[in-house]
Amino acid sequence: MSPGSEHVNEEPGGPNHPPAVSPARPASSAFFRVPRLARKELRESLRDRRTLTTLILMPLIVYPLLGTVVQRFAMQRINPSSPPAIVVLDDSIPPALANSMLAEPESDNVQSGDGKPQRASDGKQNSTEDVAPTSMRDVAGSLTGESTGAAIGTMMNSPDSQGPPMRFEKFESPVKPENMDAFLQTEVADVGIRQTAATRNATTGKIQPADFQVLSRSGDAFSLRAAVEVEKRLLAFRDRELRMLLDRTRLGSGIMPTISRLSVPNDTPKSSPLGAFLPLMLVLMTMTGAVYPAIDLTAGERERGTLEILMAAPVSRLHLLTGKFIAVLTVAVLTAVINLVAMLLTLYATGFDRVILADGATFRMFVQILGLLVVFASFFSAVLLSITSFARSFREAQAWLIPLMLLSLAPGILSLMPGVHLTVGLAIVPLVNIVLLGRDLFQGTAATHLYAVTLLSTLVYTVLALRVAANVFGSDAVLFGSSSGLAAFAKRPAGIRSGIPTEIGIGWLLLLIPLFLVLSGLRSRVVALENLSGQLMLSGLLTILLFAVLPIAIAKWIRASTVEVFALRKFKIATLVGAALLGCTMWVMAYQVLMFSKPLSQWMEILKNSQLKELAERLTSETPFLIRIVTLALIPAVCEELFFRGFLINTLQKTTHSWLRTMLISTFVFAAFHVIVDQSLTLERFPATFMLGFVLCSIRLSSGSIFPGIVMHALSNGLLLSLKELDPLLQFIGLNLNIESESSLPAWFLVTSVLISCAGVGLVWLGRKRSA
Amino acid sequence: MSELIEARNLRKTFTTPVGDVHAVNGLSLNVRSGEVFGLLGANGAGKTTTLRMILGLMKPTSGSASVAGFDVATQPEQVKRSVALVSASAGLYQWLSPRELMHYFADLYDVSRINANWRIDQLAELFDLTSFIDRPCSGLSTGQQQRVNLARSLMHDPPVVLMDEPTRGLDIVGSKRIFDFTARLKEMGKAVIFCTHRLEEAQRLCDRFGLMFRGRLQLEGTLTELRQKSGRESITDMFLDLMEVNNSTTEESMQPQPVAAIPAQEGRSA
Repeated sequence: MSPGSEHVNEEPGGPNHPPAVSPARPASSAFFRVPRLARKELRESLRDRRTLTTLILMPLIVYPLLGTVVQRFAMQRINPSSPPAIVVLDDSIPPALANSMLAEPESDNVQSGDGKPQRASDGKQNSTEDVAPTSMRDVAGSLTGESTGAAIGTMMNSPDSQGPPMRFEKFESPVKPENMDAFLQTEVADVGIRQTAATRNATTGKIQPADFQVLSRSGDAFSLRAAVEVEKRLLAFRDRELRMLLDRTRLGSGIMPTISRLSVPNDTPKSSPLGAFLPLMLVLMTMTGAVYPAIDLTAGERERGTLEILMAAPVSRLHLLTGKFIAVLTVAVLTAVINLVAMLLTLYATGFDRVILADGATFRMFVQILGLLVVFASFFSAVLLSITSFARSFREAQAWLIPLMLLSLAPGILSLMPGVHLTVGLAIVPLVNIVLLGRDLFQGTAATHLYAVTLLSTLVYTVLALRVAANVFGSDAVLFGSSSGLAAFAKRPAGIRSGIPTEIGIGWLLLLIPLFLVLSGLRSRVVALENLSGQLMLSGLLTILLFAVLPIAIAKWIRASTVEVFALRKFKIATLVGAALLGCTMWVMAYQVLMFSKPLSQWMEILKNSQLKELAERLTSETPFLIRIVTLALIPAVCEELFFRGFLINTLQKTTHSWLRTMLISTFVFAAFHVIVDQSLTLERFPATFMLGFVLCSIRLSSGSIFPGIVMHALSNGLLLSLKELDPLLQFIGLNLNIESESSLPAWFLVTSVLISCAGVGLVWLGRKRSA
Repeated sequence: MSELIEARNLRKTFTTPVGDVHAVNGLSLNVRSGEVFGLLGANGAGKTTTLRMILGLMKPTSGSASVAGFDVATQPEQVKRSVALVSASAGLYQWLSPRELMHYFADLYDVSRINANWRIDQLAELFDLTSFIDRPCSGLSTGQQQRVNLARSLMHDPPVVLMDEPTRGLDIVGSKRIFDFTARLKEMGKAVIFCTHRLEEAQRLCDRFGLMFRGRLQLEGTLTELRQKSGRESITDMFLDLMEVNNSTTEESMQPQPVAAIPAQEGRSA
């Protein structure tokens, strides 16, 4: 029984009196609505001419056009009708000699199909006609083989040489050597061969042998290439002559080494750059298909004024969005299929499939790539919806999609590089995995487990993106609009406000990281890298500027209360003592955490190069202790607390309305920032920094003040920095600390530290802020 | 259950870049079945915000509301099922026909297929849509689109109708259609809130009135009651008085009021 008919039977009055309010239905019924909702979205999208254009017209035009252009281009490169190089000969060279001199050298068409290296046969006529054409190049070879009688010969391109093959034509009559330059200069001929006669030195009686000179027109690539080719033939001719001469003597030609070129079969087929280009192209085309419906079904709803009545309906946003997702996905998949078919047909028709694809276009490959494209389409549709859901108008959505498209191009181009191979790591990087896997599928070299990882990770991203979209779509901010961040910044309020508006807080956070990286990079321009103290002081100044001065300036500018924003409030002595105790033991915990995360550090072995170690040693030996303490402990303690535990927590509390989320997000940002700004990207720092951040965040939130955290942060950093200075003291209490050995700390020391930490936590808890 | 709409002390405070603004400040109202309540006020008085809170599109900062006996905060789905939202700014899906559009709204409101067909026939007749019901909406005239929109809103036959500036931007014919529609809703026994800033049209149409000024319901009652309270004949005059009184007494406080340094945000999350 369908949910609909069940409903009618409940009606006492029959269909003449439909119910005023439909009774609540089971959740499953609501879910069954999704396909019906999707049908409307699909109907709407597919009736739109603009969708149809990108869906059908684009692929039908683009691929054949592209195919034709590429074919033309390729044909031009191997075209037998391309003009031959005109060779003009010195009239002192006998015509017979000239012919054998310029004869095509032994064919270097080495077949390696059977895997057994073969020497190019000495036979004169191992021309390409004997071999059945198997590739484009061979086709071209057989074509050029049928050259006109006027041509002296045809030089086939060896498989690894560049450029089209060269044909030569002798100029109708030999010319005087002194006129030769003029022939070349006026482009009547492209190459000249001049002979200087053999002479006998009158005094010594030695014979100066005849000299051949190959002339080319300077600055003319074609002439130069022809000259190089002619020179090659002359050398081959000389070899032949020499061999004959030796054969006639008693020495025999055996003393003359032979030089031949061989090729061995290639186990890993050379991936054609076009092979990576095809999936990238498919990915881009699939994107274009999904973009329009995605905007239309989300931002378009608001623009048409249908979003509010949609939100007024008793249907969950997730269901609405799932319906939209199905519609966008369908259009995207249709686009993908049409593109794939058009592309493969074009490849097949032009014969390129055998050049670009290892096994030609097969049905199996079609299915595999289609599967990949469906997954990609679902991923991209979800991402698109999550972005366009933010937008309030078509134009806004388009403006936001441009960066996304550009962003998508970067991994796409990365995957065009021949050295990049799909690994498990790359298989979880969105888009890169799809393009690389697509390339491997086209080459027939894709690994099953990587296929699985790629599909799985992409599906996970899809679900995540869909969740984001469902949260954003039709949310108050989008539905009713709110002023943008810049407007909020420009407009100063009359009175004092309690906090940093979300858009300004998050905006500064996003700006901070690139600013920090760029300005850090500039440090070496101001002070030489060798001057470590100078570098440290500069980075200290930078920290003060970005984490303290500018956030305070922002707060002042928008008239936010600095006391509120930076939590510059009173605190209890107990909290301060507790924080200080924690600060003293924090390095022990951090050290242990670092030890625990050793597998991770081994994983990051590559990054742990000797340069880092050297830097650490130089830091301790070349900079005064005071500078180190001030720039690496005091300044970061004050400034980072002001920013992360003041500014950021204030912003997040307003946004998330949750203590836990505020703590987790701010701590994550704190830890991630330390990993990012560290130039070596040492991921192993993350757990330890996260722990430190979490404790600091807890103290800030429980005490309501930033000051105890500053004390703890400074102590923690300071102690870690002065381990070397404190070494005698540590030795005295029987602690032999050798960071190099990376061994665990002694048990008694750990227990003491844990006890002190517990006391610290207790004191912090005692000094917590009682809610009013 | 004669009171179909009940709002108790609704309050909505927006935190804006220029400080906190009380869009709706302690608003209470009741609307019975078969009653048209005119929520009147200038632009920005808080009418639309009030409607959105009653419908559950916006969470009130404090206070509560119920529709057809369902609480907005705890039973949002039932509330939405009981309400039709009519707004002049609502659009149509240009690529769908009125029939498809109405079927879509039937799906949204979980109206069964058979009921939907029955409703569509009924509404098509009521709003005279039959001649163009299968043509795409993009080809319809403004008047036809308006009729489709009204028919669409009644697809699920709700007991409550919220009308947000339904006559905005309409000509005389269009406005007349809205008045007829509202009168018909009254006959059907629906509870209607009619939001408008056009006071004279409300005076003809509504049973009771609420005059909103800067987030507060300043004057409320039937026309007779209002006349007694204010000593004025027309609603326009009452309104002008209201504005004058408010402007003279609380000139400064009427500016957007930033709430100075409140730890309220922290308190709310706890």
